[in-house]
Amino acid sequence: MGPIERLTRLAEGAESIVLLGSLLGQDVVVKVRVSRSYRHPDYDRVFRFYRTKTEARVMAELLEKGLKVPQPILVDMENYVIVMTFVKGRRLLHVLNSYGVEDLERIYRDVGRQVGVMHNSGIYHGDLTVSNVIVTENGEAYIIDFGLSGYSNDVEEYAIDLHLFDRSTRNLVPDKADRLFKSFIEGYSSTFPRHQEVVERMFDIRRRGRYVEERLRRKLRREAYTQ
Amino acid sequence: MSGKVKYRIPFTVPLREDRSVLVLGFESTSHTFGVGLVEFREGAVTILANVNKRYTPSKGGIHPREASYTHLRNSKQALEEALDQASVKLKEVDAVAVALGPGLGPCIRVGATLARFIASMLNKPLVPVNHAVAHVEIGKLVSGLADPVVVYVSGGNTMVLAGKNRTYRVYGETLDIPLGNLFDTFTREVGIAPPYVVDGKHAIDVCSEWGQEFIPLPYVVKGNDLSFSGLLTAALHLAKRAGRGDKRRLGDICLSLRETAFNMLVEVSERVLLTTEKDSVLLVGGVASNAELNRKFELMASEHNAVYHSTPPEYSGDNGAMIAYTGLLHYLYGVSVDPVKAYVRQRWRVDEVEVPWVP
Repeated sequence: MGPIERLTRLAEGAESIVLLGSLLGQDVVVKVRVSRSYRHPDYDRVFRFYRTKTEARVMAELLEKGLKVPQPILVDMENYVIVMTFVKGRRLLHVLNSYGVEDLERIYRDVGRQVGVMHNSGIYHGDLTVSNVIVTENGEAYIIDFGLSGYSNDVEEYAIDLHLFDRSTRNLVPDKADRLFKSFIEGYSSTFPRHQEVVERMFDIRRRGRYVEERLRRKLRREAYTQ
Repeated sequence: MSGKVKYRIPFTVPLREDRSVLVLGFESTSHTFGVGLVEFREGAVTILANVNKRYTPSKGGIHPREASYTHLRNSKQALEEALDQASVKLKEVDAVAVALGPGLGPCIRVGATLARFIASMLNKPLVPVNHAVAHVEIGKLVSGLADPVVVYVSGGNTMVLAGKNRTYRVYGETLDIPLGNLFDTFTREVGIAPPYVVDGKHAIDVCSEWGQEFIPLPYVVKGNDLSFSGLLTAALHLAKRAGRGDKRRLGDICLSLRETAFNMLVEVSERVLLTTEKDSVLLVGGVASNAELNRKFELMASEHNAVYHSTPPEYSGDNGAMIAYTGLLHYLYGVSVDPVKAYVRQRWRVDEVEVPWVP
């Protein structure tokens, strides 16, 4: 890895290995998209190329919009590697149970505001869960892992982001989920004018067969979110 | 009764080893009417009978009413064959299990009616079984895996499950059509099916052998969820442009369709395997017998040093034995329902079922 020193393994994802290292005295994250033997060889290359490219582009663009995301430092399109700044903190997943509701509401409002800016730029995250938000020591929320993100003007993609975020929260803290999601929507609606449309679509998605039991409850829930 | 395989339940159940229990199970949620007889004796489970009668549409897909008529016609014979195979009498049965969902209403009603009747007649407990839970349980029994990541793929379901807090949690699933449905619909629309499966091989696999080249198709993974409908439309569009008779090109499309769909599923399963930190993967459901999918899963599991097991064909497709076995487990935990209240639940989700044997 040349100039990057002290590489240690941080995490292993389904399509990449994430390493922590040091570049010119700064902590950096090295994300290497690995080859998978179960994929067709042609497909493997195309797949890794596009995911690396989109991830780097999206991060750069969001930084420009002033969002809190890791900064890409180096991108190697031959080996499918991205080097980016390291965000020190804990995953939202791990603080959900230890933080107070007020703190969490503030974090959710912040995440909502950032997601609103992102969607307003025509970008969706694709894997927006509580594992992919990092909360730093001074309580700032960073969105990470843009491996499944992309460009789209389709409300559907935005609604999926909201759906996944609410689902992952609900799975962990079912009793606080309604309040937290309301805070999220407060932040979201302040930065994204099409917010109402997206929330409507999120409920539509949940009505497509799999969450049919929710049909009965949906009216009550919908009223809780839309003022 | 010699020659019948004995299986050890891969987890502990609340039953004294000297007691024996015999459970009769009915499966009729979709194209198969199945009767199973399962016995628990000396700490081991024996599948005494597994008789399955399949409805095969002559054209198009499953017609729910036609399928239910076929089940009705087959039910008596299937039950008699099962009792005969197991050489037991109906009155020796300790409990009657029935798949009450999820599935096609008219079809489920056939099994439900019969089970309610037999349970009332014998005055034995009626045990409601969720079809998806049954697929998972029979897979776990046959493979001996106690706590795997379960990938359930069939004509009507595509989901990645793992046990947590006494339920099977859905970590990822299809947002629109299931994987089996994708292949069935594609092969039907391009005119190479039905029959969908010949000699255990699906039409999509036959067709894939004609192709060589890989064509990029929409790859839609959202979080841990999958979407196949765009993939189907894109593949059908390509097939239409290629025109009928171009076997090589159709082969390329089939190959790419299968490759893309399988990669999506394996990627999601891989992610669930890593997040849940389990050490094994189990493939269940009708598509579990697919050779190519098994190859991909084997490769994926070996890259993470995980154990991988598929389910043999007689237990991977819908069958009566899985209902009887899952009914047995529920019965051991004291679950039963009043026949008057044994309603059919067409959309009974797998994560709504309490499974006390899951840690």
